[in-house]
This record gives sequence, structure tokens and C-alpha cells, in this order.
Amino acid sequence: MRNLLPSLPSLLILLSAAVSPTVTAADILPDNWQPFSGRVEFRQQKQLQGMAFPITSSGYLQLDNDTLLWHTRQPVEQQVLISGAGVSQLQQGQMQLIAGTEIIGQLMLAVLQQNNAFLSTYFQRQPQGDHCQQLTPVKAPVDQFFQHIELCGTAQLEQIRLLEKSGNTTSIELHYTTTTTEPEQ
Amino acid sequence: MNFRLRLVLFILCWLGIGLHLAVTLPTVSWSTNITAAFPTADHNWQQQLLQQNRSSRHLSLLLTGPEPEQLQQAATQLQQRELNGLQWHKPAALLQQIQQQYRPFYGLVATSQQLQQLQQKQYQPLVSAAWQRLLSPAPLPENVLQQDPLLLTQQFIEQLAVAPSALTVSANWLEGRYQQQHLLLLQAELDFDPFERKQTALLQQQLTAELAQLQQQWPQLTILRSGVLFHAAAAADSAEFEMAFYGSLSALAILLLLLLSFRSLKPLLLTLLVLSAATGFGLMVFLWCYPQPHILSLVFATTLIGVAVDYSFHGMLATDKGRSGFRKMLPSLTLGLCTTLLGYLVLIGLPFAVLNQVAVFICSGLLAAYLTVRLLFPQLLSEGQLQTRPWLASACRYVASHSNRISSRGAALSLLVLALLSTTVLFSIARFSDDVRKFTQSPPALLEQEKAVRQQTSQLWESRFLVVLGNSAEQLLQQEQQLQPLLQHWQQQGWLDNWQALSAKIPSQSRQELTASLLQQAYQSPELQHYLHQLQLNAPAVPQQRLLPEHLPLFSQLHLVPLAEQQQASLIFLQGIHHPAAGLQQQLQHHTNVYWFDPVNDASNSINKIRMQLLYWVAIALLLSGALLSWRLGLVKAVAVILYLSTAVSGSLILCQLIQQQLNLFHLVATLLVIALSLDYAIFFSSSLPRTEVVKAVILSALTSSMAFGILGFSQTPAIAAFGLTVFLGVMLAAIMAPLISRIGVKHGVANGTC
Repeated sequence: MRNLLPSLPSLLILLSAAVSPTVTAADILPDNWQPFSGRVEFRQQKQLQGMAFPITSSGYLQLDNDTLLWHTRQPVEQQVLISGAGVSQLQQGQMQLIAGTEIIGQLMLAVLQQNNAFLSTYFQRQPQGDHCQQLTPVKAPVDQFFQHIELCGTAQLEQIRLLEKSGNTTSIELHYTTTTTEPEQ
Repeated sequence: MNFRLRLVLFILCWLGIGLHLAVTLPTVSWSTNITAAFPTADHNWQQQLLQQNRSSRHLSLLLTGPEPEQLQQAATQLQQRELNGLQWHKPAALLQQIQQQYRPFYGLVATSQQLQQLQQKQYQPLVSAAWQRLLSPAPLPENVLQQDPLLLTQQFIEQLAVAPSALTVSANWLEGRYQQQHLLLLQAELDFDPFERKQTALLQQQLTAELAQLQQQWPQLTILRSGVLFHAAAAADSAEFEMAFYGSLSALAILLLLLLSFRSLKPLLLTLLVLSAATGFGLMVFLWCYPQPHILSLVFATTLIGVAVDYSFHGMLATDKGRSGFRKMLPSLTLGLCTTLLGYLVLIGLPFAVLNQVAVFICSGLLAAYLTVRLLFPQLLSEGQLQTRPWLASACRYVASHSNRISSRGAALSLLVLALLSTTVLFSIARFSDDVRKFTQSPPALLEQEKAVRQQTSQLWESRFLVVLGNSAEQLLQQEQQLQPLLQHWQQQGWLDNWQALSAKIPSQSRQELTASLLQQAYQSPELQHYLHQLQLNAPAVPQQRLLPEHLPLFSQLHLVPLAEQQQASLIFLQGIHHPAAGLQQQLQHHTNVYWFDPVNDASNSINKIRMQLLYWVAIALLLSGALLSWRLGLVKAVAVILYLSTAVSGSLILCQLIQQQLNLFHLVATLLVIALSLDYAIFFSSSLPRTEVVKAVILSALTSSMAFGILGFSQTPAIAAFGLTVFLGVMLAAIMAPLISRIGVKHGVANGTC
């Protein structure tokens, strides 16, 4: 009888799976790009399948200690927290993790922090012109979400384009300012 | 019927049985399922749930030790191998599959909090949450916004999958860290029942070879196993080994004893004849009655050798005294058979599969042994042909002459004092345990691995469940929904860490309709109108189709169990119970058709009931024996035999309590056999048969029984060890005290029945 139910079906395990990053070392981003930290203004355009126009939003990103605060000011004021555990959004005064976004959280951090090891684990690089790198996923689960991502910039990362498998496209432009601002809480 | 005809018939039967077994045995599907071996549950649905439990088909392998890349290489290598009936899980694909299955039902499914907000017309928080999700960089499925502008179902799915854990979903496995060490969890499902011996043995063999190869390739690699497959394989291996080992050892010891006791080979051949007839016939009837017998029953059944051989001894010793000697012995042998059959037949009445099977095997085997002795022995052995070795003859004479020195009064007084003393001591020190987990023992290393896998992957789901019964899936889902506030209350109180119910994944149709209608109302509100306008979207129409359990087979297979008579059960899994079960059960009383289901505890309770039942049976068996004996031997002798039996039973239980620290049902089952065997000795010592012959038969019988049962005392399975030790001690005590019976009612100085 001890053996009756030693473990519940693995679906339960799967449903309660969260995240921890996986890394290997190999360069995938240009050496001259400066890793980002602190605060940067952004403008995002999200083109969803079936929508006549893209949803445009803007705000700033604040990167501190492997946590990225995604603060949108337009069209609505809101905050999203991105970490290796995934994307968390504010619900009833508490940050709640969006399931299945672990890899998105890791990917965003890896792109902004220029974590070559992470990127080379999941992507194959193909230069696009002088200033862009197209990264094509080679490994699950990234290849289940994205067709490819494109990173552009001269001295720093300036634009991220995410082409999802569903056909949705997200373009994020980053505008670095020389002045530094205290992070908002 | 003349002897030749009898002999021909016997040989024909013997050959027929042998042929039948040779054809049948290789095709027998032996059950190694320990659940099937233990008592049936109180309710039918409990039994059906246990039988249909598919979780036994899952297995996990936890890989730790080397660097992540090496772990992944090892896992990939293993997954590329062809393994019998094993399907590896693809976690990432599974999650995507679930998401896809929800797609047609967007706008029908919402979280309870969202539903509450819709009911209270709190639309702004819903709009804010939708914007938040929409603007976050997390991907969205295609066309979801047109179907469900508030992204209620999308958020429902995302919340569904969130729970505290340290594991990451990868394409073919889960990864994580435990105490600074990287770990990789491989999961798989068997496409056969792990209790099917042949398939399990083949897979176990393949897996062991593959894992050994991986460990050779990566010496730092540690592989921990979890799953019923490994326990079932270990239990079957152990049972098979014990059956073969103890069976052979018993037979060998008995044959050796025969060679040491008699000068010719004839007794050996006659004994082999009896044993082969008993084993063959017993096995044939056993397989007729139970097409899928339990392997544990066969281990218990090896004791048939120890009992059947007694018949051979009694037969040979009596035949050696001539036909009249044989005829004189026959009533005692018949009475002995009746009492033994009575003891075993009690076991057939108990709701305990293994004991029923053992009883059928032994009863039919003993009947065959008795008939062989009765029909063939007088012709196969001539008077005076049995040449006893001197040591045995002198030992018998010594016991017979010394027992004659005991007065009738002394014997009676001794039996009275011994019976009173032993029963008093027994009642004061006996400690019974009905914990079913103590009856079997998986290898400690396997249990350690099981524990480590659960701990390192934070999968601490209980083996206790809530079960909801109903006539349709819709009824079950509605009942579960009514139960959800109570489960949330338990969580808030800290009585329960987590739970998983089908209704938390698939709302009832009535709730889906409510959600859809509330959403239609919401779309007309100013907040939603503004939101839809911003996105240039139209309010979607209500979906025509409803989400049913069959649309999400992964979840419905996990939670729903079809029962007999069109009934269904849904299982609610519980994690981290920190409150007494009785308190939680009490709160469930207000919910009809909702039950607390604890298979381990329920089985232990059943064991307790059976044990109490068996106690009555033991008492009744003693009284019946007394009644039978008082008719055959007179009241005084019958009382003396009862005292003698009580002493043998109590004495063996006292010694078992002292040696094994605890008594259980199997000790009690064994006492029935002690009664049956002791009664045989008492009957023979009460007979008018020559005393030395009785002593000889009882010494040989006790020695063979002790060997057969004593060997079982060393079994790795605690239940079998308890059974073996009790019978061994009981038989020894009974054999030592048996001569006292012969002195009851004999005037001092009379050498009762001595030849």
C-alpha cells in the first residue's frame, strides 16, 4: 500500500514548474555593445494578429540586480516586473507571476544584460546589415514562442524586435538619456 | 475399487495435473500489486478508484551530479534509447497542448476573482489587468483579443500553471536546483500496468542496463528513481526469490530429515509422492479459482509442504504396523484433516485476497495428500518395511517412557497453570499494530530515493484525497465548485498548503454560461466601451460550444474516474495537510457526496476490523474443537486439549511479541494454523495408537513443520516473517507439551498405550 501512490502524476509537477536560468558560454552579441544597466526610456509597438493597428505604449525600463521594472506611462500607467522567474504583474496590490513566461523573463534580461552565454544556448546568430543581429531559436521552449528576434544598435542595443510564432510582432525602441534618474519604487 | 485401478487412476490424475500445469503455468499472469493483496475497501467506489488508479504508471528519474550540459547529454542519450512500453514526457509541448485545448473556449472561463468582479460590476480592475497583460512583453496566442478582449481566459490559464516550485520547463524534461546542485527531472508513463510481471521485469532490466551505462560514462552522475514500477519489480523479485528459496529449502530439509530418520529410500519416495500430489492438485485448484493469483500467496503456500508431509509420516508409521495399524490410525488422520481444513476455511471467509488464495491452495493440497495416503499407502508399504534409524527410535522411546511418569493430575495441573499464566501474560504485554505499511517492505535504498525525489522536486502531494461522487461530470464540477470556498478557507487557516481540483481547470457549464452572460453585460458598460474603442474592437458574441472535460483529456484523465453504474468520481489532490484529518473530515459533512479518501488509513482500518473478526474466529475455533473433542474423547480430555491449545497459541504470541516487538494480523492468522497443527498432535496423543509411534510421528511432523515455517521467519516481507515465526514457535511449544495430553485421565503408573 505504501507503493500505492508514491508520486502523483507528473502533470501536477509540470503545472507547478517555475524557473531557474540555464547558461552556457559563447559570444553571440557584438563585443562593442555596452551592457545596459540603470534606466532607459522605451517605446513599444505591439502588432497583434487580426488587429488593424499596433498597440503603442511608452515608459521606462529600470534594471537593478537581475530585476527589470517595466513601467508603462502611456496609454495607461502600469508596472510589470521581469526577472528570471518570469513576468509578474500587479494584481490586487501584489505582484503575480504570469505562468509560462519564465523564458521570456530570462530572455529579456539576457538581451538587456547581453548575456551571451544564455543567448548562444537558445539562439543561432545571423547578422542583418551593419547594425542588426537576427537570432533564430534553436531550442525549446524559446522556439515554441518566437520565430526569431532581432537586436539592433550601434554602440548600444537600441531596438528589439520579437516575432512571435503566432504572428504577433513587438518592437521595442530604447532611448538612452545622459541624465540619471532615481529609480521609482 | 481394487488397488491396481486406484493406482492407474492416481497415475492418470497425476500425469493430467502435471500436463495441465505445464501448459497453464507459463501463461499465468501473476499479480504483484500489493494493493490487490490487502483487504478490500469498505465501499465499492473506493475499490474501483484503487483499481483504476493510473498514477502507478508514472515514473520519474532525477539526475544530479555533473554540470548541466552533461546532465542534459545523459538525459538525451537515455531518451534516445528504445525502452519497452515507456513514453517520455515532453513538458513544454504538454503546456502548449493545454493552451491550445482552451483556445475555442476563450471568454467562457475566468478565475473566481474575475467572476466576482464581473458580478459586482467592478470593471475597471479587469480593464487594468487586461492592459497590463497586453502591454507586457509576454507573448499572446493569435486572435485572442478578438475572442476575449479582457483576456480573462488567458489570465486564467496563466494563473493555473503558477505554483511554488524550483523547476523549469524544458522541451524534454524539467530542470532546477537543489542545495546549489543542478538537477534534471525526467518523467515518463508506462503503457502497461506496472504490476504485470513480465513487462515490468523486461523494462526494469533495460532501464538498469541503460542507467548503469550512463553512470559509467559520467561517474559523478547520480540517478534517483521514483515510481511504482521500481517497487513492484523489487517486490516481485523478492517474492519470486523467497518462494523458490524457501520452498526448495523446506523440501531439502524435509528430505534430509527423512534420510536421517529411515534406513531405506522408500519413505523418501512415498513422501515425494504425497508432496507432489498435494502441490500439483493445490496449484491446479488455486489457478482455477484465481486466474490472476497474487505472488505473495505462493510464498505463504510453500508451508503446504510442512503440513502435507505430516500425513505422509502418519500414513507410513501406521502402515508399518500392518493394515490394522493403518485402519486404527485413519480416524485420527481424518479428524486431523477436518480440524486443519476448518482452520484454513476460516481464512476463505475473510475479505483478504491473499489469505483466501492461500486457504484454497492449502485446503485442496491437504485433501490430495490425505487421499494419496488413504488410497495408496496400505498397498505401497508392507508391514515392518519401515526401518527407523536407532537415534529416532531411542529418542521416541525416551520421550514416551518419560512422559509416562507424569501423573494425570500433574499433567492437568501443568496445563491449567501454563494456560492461565500464558494468557494472562499475553493480555498484559500484547501490542497489536494494524498499520498496513508495516506488512511489506520496499528496499530501504528505493524508499530513500523516492523520498529524495519528492523533496528535491518539492512534490509533496499527499496520498490522501477528497473524492466527489456524482452521476455526471457536470454534477461533479458543480459539487466541486461548492467545495472550493471550504478548500480556500483551509488554505487561509494554514491547514492545507495547496489543492488541485478539476473544477479549478474546467468550470461547470452553468458557471461558463454565467461568465459569458456577465461578460456580455460588462461589454455594455462605459469602462469596457472605452477600452474596446481604444483597441478598435467589437464586443464578441457568446461562444456556442461549452468547455467539457473531454476537451481537456490531460486533466480529465488525472481527476475523473468512471465507476460502475454510470457513476463518476473526481479526485481532489491535496498538498501539505497541517490539521488533524478528523477535524477536516467533520467539516466535509455538510457537503453531500464528498468524501475524505485515505487508502492507506482505510486499509489499516480494514485490517483492524479483520483482526477483530479473526479474534472471534480463533475463539470459535477453540470452542468448536472443544465440542468436537468432548464428543470424541470426553469432556475432561477436551478441556485439557483446549488448555493445551491456549498455551501453544498464547506462548507463541508472547514470544513473537518479545522478538518482533509488535503483533499484527498475520500473527493471528498463524495462530489458526497453530491450533490446527497442535490439534493434530493432541488427537494422536489422545488416540489408542502405540505411544512410541505417536511420538515418532509427532516428532517428525513437528520437525518438518518447524523447518517449513521457521525458514519463513527469515523472510524480508514482514507479514510473511510474522506468520512463519508464529507457526514455528507454536508448533514447537505444542510438540513439547503434547505428551501431557496422553496422561490426562490415566491412573498413575499406567503406561498408556506404550508398546
